[in-house]
Amino acid sequence: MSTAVGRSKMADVELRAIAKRYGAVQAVADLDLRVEPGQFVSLLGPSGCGKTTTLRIIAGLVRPDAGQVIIGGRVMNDVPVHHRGLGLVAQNYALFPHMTVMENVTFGLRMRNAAPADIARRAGEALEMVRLTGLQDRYPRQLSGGQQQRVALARCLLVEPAVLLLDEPLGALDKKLREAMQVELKSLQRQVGITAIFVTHDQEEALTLSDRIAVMHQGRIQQVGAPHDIYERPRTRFVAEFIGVCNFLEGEVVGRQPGAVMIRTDGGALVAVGADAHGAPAEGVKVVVAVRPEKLVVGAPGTSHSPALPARVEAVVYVGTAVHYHLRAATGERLIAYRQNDAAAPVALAPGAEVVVSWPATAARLLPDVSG
Amino acid sequence: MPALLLTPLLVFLLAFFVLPFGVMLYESLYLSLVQNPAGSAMTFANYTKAFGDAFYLRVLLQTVALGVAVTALALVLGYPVAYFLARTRSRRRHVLLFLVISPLVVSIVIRSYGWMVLLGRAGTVNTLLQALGLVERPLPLMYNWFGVVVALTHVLLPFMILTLASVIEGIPESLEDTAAVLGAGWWSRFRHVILPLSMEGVGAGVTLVFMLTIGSFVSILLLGGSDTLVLPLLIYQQITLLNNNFAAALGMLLLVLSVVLLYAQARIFRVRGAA
Amino acid sequence: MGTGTTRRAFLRALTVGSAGSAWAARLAHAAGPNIVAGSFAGVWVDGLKAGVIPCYKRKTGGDVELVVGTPTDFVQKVMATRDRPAIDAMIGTDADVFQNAQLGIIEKLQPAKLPNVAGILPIFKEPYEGWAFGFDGGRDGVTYNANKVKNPPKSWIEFTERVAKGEFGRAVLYPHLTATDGLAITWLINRELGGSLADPSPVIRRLREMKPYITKFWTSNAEPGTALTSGEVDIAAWTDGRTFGVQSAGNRHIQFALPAPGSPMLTICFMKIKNGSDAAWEYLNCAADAKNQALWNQYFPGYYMTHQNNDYPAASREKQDPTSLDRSFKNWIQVPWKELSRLRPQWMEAWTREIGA
Ligand SMILES: Nc1ncnc2c1ncn2[C@@H]1O[C@H](COP(=O)(O)OP(=O)(O)OP(=O)(O)O)[C@@H](O)[C@H]1O
Ligand SMILES: [Mg+2]
Repeated sequence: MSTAVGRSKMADVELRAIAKRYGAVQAVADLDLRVEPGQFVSLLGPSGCGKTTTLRIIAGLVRPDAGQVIIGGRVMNDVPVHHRGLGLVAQNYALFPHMTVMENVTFGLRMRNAAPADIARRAGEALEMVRLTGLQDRYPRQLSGGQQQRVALARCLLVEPAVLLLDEPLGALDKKLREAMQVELKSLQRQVGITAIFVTHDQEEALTLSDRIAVMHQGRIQQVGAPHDIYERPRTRFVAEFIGVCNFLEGEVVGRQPGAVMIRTDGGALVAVGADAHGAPAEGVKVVVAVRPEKLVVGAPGTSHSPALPARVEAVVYVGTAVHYHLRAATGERLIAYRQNDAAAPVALAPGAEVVVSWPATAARLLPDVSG
Repeated sequence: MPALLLTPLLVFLLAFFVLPFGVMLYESLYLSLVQNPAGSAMTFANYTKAFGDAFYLRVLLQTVALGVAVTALALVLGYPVAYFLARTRSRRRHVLLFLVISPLVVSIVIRSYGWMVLLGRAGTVNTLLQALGLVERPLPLMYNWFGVVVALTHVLLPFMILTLASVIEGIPESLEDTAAVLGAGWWSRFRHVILPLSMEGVGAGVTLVFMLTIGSFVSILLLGGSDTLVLPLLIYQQITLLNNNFAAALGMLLLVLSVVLLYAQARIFRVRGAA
Repeated sequence: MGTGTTRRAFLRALTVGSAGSAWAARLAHAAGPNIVAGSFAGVWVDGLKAGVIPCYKRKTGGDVELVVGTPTDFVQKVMATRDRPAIDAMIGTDADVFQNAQLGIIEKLQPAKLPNVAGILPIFKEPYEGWAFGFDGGRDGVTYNANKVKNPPKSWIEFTERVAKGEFGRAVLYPHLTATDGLAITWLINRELGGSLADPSPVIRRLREMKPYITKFWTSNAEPGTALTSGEVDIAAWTDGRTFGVQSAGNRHIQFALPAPGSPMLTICFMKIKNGSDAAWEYLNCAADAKNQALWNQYFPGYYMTHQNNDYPAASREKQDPTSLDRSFKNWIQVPWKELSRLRPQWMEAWTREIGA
């Protein structure tokens, strides 16, 4: 890239055993994270799980109680915020209300005492890049939400930060604009090739944008992985539940077969789950079986492969691209199944219908039972 | 309906501002009964005396200079405190707040005695300076401009601090964080973000403190000396001499000064980009 | 109470804030004629409540509402309510008497209604030409810290010379011209320096020489006491009565000297406000009574009472100036108040320009 905003330093970020406590609240606990140069990593988790705190620790706005922040191979703990050379976009954009678009965008360069001619040229390029040319003399309050968002991005990219930190930058936008901005943000990040750490509590956004996702819960990272990894192979019940929708059946290992483990659910049903020979738990261990709703096959009694759960349809919800079946297994468990609204003839299932539910053994995941 | 809501304010203004102002204007256009028991015709004599005499203009100048000094000192001392007050999350914030307003809680007489204990010839400061061998003879810290400026700054500081703090509190911290991440050190953050955004507060605080200073009187009477001649003292003397008429003319002078300042405040202290 | 009185009281309440309470007082005691009188704050009120006010109550069945403040406050109030004055009787300094007469807000004393005034010593009533009578007197002199000043000035001139030489350092208090003491002392020094009523320049010149050493020109009568006891100043032109007050509060080292040729005479006078209630005459008569004066004097040992039959309480008697006890008043100097109060604005103007605040 030859544009002004294209000369990223592509730094990597490493957090080592970071901890931060606010009074009685352990906001971040023993957190390790590695972000490779040029990667887009999301910190995903429910409200209050410590995402913003983690981001602010990286930025240098919060001092961690313990641990190290390493950026581009350099330990940053004692480097003050304004010398870290990072970029931050906050949820409300934090545009300077008393500065024009141009003044906002060039703020970082002016703080670095860049040459005026240089500032003007690079600002022009940056504004063009985020499609704001012509608006440079406006004040922030004269801009739409999306435009403000782009000013914040341009302002941040113009200083060629080593890492781009984004704290729910799309949170304030409506759904349509939000989706458009997601695409724009991702392509901009690719184009610039910058390392980005993105905080969100919106799992869909994280799945769409990220190279890797770090799912956080109560100040700790539960799992880090590529989006499909997180979705298909959640390692904890929390991750499975937080990303997408998931059915859980609690039970006990009762037998092992090549490539699969047999589970007796607490309700008494016998189900199979695909598992590696070495990773499989021993007989008698309490486990949780997790199956995504779209992996469930709902059929008339006697029509499916075993093991299958007999169940009754409790509700049918039509959502356009799919139909959701809310089911109650004969053994008592509640299940939800999605059926794609595709070209095949729709199965006419009404509430009260008796069905059997089954799934390919490889579609189910075996998770440790932490509740018991 | 909205007009109805304003009624109490208008009645209040009428009773406590417009009416006294009218009386004052009227009085200022006649000569004192003490000097003219027979009464006088309407005249601008009081004004020609106030404006035409270098002596009164010098007093006016001294009054303005005192206002500028106290206001500047209050601004410089008050800003950091206001900033801290606005930003701190400490649970002891209310203690600090109490300390800030404490000068207003104490009556003027007690406060002045406090200053006498500190600044007097045999006061704490002089005793300390002499004990440390820094000065041989006690410094004149009171009954002069120094004492007046210190005392007025002390009692008017709360107005500055509270005005500034309420405005600074309204500036999102995220702006400072963002500026810092963008490479601004503390001075740049203050200079380019906090100060310009708190300009309205600065304007309000400056106007408030200036007007209170040029109108203040008891502190100057108690802590000033023969050199600290300002308009309110002159007005007080005229009232003591029952020359209310000349006092009224001098009062108009003070009022004009305040109005000019208020007008200037609205024009000078504005935040750019505000609606 | 007739509607006229009510309306009058109502108008007063409307015009002058503090008169609101007076109106209430009048309504509350409909039995006898209630009056409003001006008094200094603090012990003065106690002194009046000891004798003068009970006497008024006994004689009339009415009550006295005291408005506390300075004579200037009273005059300003009366000026704003001339026809229906907010105050019926007031006290003031000698300087106030002729100024009030000139403003036309006081009435000449009516001897028929004031039998006790016949017993007031001539020196305390003749100067006022029938506009007022003196109630108590005090002497201006020099109060000093005996630990610091071993040799107090023998005369007023000596006082000014030694101050101007810096002999006492910058530790001197002198009364401001807005204070009656200031006017009296400044007039006396001017006379001693050869000046005249029309020409205050000699004393102004001397005061300019003294100014570098004057810590402050005091405006409130309480200031010198604080400044002397705190060590802020070592010497002050002040009054004897106040000095004795400070002394008996455990400050033995604060002492009083009367410089030659004597003390300019300062008196607190009683005056009847024009258009005020006629019952105020009874109040004034009570104030001219020897016993009531003695009761007041308990609170002010060291001050002089003006009735010829006055019997001072023992504590007060030992502090009296012998020339007042023997009624020769040799140490007392009459100030030409009538002329001086007329010329006061000019003196004030010269003072403000040449000396300052
Ligand atoms: N400055 C602070 N003082 C006290 N507690 C704090 C502070 N900042 C954060 N916390 C607490 O730390 C925990 C983590 O906060 P954090 O802001 O990191 O959460 P988050 O994951 O960003 O949540 P959200 O999605 O709601 O923004 C919360 O319980 C919060 O209340
Ligand atoms: Mg957050």
